[in-house]
Amino acid sequence: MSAPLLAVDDLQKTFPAAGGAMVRAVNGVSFRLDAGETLALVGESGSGKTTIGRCVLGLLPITAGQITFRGHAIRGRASIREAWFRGRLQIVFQEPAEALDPRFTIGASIEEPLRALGLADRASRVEEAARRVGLSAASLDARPGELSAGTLQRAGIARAIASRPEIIVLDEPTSALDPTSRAEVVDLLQRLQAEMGTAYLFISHDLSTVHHLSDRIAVLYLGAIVEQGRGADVFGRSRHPYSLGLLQSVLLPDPGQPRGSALALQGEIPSPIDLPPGCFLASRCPFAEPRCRAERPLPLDLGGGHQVACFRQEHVLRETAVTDRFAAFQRHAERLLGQD
Amino acid sequence: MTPALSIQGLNVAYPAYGGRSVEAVRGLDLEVGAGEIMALVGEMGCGKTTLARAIMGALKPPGRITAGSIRLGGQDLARLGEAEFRKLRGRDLAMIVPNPRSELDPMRPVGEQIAAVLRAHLGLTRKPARERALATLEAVRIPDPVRRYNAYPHELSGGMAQRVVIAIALACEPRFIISDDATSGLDVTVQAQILDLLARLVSEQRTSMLYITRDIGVAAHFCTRIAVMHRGEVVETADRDAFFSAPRHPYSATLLAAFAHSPALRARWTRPDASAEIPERGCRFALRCVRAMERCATDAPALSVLAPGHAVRCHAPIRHMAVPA
Repeated sequence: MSAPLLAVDDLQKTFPAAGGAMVRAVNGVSFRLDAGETLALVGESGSGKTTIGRCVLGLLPITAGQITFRGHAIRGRASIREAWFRGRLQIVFQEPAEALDPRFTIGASIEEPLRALGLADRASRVEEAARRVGLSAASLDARPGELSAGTLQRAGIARAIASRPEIIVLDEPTSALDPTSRAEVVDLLQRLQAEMGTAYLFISHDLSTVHHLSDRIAVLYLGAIVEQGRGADVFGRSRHPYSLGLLQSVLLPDPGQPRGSALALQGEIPSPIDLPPGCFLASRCPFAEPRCRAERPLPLDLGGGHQVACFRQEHVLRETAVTDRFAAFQRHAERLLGQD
Repeated sequence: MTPALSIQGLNVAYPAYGGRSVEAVRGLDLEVGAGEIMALVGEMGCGKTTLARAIMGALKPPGRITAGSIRLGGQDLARLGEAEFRKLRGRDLAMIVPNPRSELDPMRPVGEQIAAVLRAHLGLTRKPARERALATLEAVRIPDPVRRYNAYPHELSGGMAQRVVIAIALACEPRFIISDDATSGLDVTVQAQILDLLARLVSEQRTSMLYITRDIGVAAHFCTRIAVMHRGEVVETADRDAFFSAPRHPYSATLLAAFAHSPALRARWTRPDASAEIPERGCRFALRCVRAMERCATDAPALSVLAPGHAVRCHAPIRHMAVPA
C-alpha cells in the first residue's frame, strides 16, 4: 500500500487555561487523507475540528502525536516554513470577507499569498485561478465590499488554489452562505477537485453538505473521533450513539420525514477542561452502562475502514433503525420538484 | 377568528443616494393566527430582520415605515410612539435574538434580570418577582434553578444563556413573540432541545410566534405555517404541510432544490444567466426565475390566493400532480 498523502497519528493538543488548568482540545486523533479525496471532520462546537485543521496547517504547535504530509512532519509554524511545503497546503475560511483585505482588489488578494511564497509567473496563476472559479475581470478589479458573499467565497477559493496545493483545509466554507450560493460553492469545489485532484480536509457542522461532498467522514466529540468511515457507512449504518444523535438532530425540509426522537441526546457537551474518565459521551448517552463511565472505549474496526469507539455498538445496532435521511430527502425532492 | 398579528401593505424604506429610497419591505401582507408559529424564511438581505424591527418599533434610522399597518390586538404598531412601545415591549411583545450573551447584562445575576422585567412590567414586588422568575427558569428547563438564579451570564453555556434569554422574553407571557434566527448559533443537538422548548411554551401560554430563519429545514419541523420572503416581499404563504407537499412559487422550489444536493434539480431550478439585480419593473424574482415569461418583466404579480390559506405572488405558479403520500 502506498503511503497516504496526510497521516495524523494520535494527535493531542492542549491549551493552557486560567488557574493552571488545561483545555484538552484534541485527545488522540488518528486519520488518513489520500490524494484527491475528501475527508470531512464533523462535530459541534468544542469538538476540536477547527483545532485539528489549524494543527494540520502548521498554525498551531502540536502537544503530542504526529502529523506527516508525504513523510514531512508538521509540528508547528517553524516546520511549515521548510521550502518543501511552499504552497502545498492551503485554507478556505468560513467568512470570505474576513479572509480578504478590504483595501485590496480581489485580484491583488489572490496574488498576495503567491508573492509571500515567492512563486513566479504570478499573473498567469491568478488568471488561471480566476478562470477556474468563474470570476470575471470586473470582479478581479472590485474590492470585497462591492461583491456578494457567494462571489467573495469564489475569490477565497481562487486564492487557495492559485498555488496549486495538494491539500486544502476547508474550514466551514459554506456555513455563512445562503442555500442557493451554498449549492453553487459546493458544485464549484467538486468540479475543482475533479479537475485538479486536490485533497480536501472539509471541516463542517453542516451534515447535509458533508454527505454530498465527502468520500469519508470522521465524527468528533470533545476532541476524539467517535466514528469514521465511508459516507455510506457513517451516515447509513451509524453505530455510535453520538453520530446517531447528531444525524437525528438534522432538520431536513420535509415534515413527512420526522426527525428521530429515539436518540435524543440529553444536556450539553461537558467542559474540555474537566473531561470525564470514561467515554466522553457517557453523561448524555441513553445506552451508557457502568463500564462506559469508567473506561474509555478504543476504536473498533468493523471492516472497510469503518471504525466505532463504543462499548455498546452492538446494542446500538439492535436498538436503532438507521436510514440515510439525506438520500431519502433527495429522492423526495426529485419527485416533488422534478415534474410540472 | 381575528389573527394575533395582522400586517397589511407594509412598506419600510431607507433613503438612498440621489433622493431615491430603497424599499427593504414592500407591500407586505402577513397574518399570524392565535397559537400559530409562523416561519418567515428568506435569504440574507431579504428584509426579514427589517420586518422584525418594524414590528418591535425598533427600526434603525433613517429607515422608516412609509405605508401600511401592523395590528396587534386593537393597536396599530405602525403608528405607535416610543413611549407607548416601551409599555408594550417585554409585556405584550417580545423578541429573541441569536447572540444570547449580548442580550444579558454581564454584571448582574441572570435571575435578577428576569425579576427586573417582571417588576417593571407587571408591577410585582421583590419577593413575588423572585418567585415567578424562579418558576420561569424552571419552565425553560434550567437545571437547579435556585443556584442558577444567582449565576452571572459568563458562568452559563451558550445553550443555557439562550434559555435565560427565552425566559426573559416569556416571563410576562407576551401575546406575541418574534424569534430572529434565535437558534442558528447553537449546536444542532442543543438547537433541537431549544426548539422543542419554544414549541411547548408557545402552546402552554397560548401565545403566537413569528419565527424568522434562513433554515427552511427548521421551518418544516417546528412551525404551523410558513411565509417565504424574497427581496422585501412575501412570495408564498401556506400551511406547513400544504407548502412542503406542493410549493407553488419558483423561488420556494429553488430554495428546496438547493437543500437536496441533486444535480438534476439544481440544473432544473437554476438559471445560468441569473442576475442579482432587482428589476425596476415587473416581478422582483424575474431575473433569477427559470419560468419567467415576457409578462414577468413588465407586470408585477400580486399575492393571490390559490387555495384556502395558500397564497402565491407569481404569474405562473407551479402545478403539482397528486403527490403520493
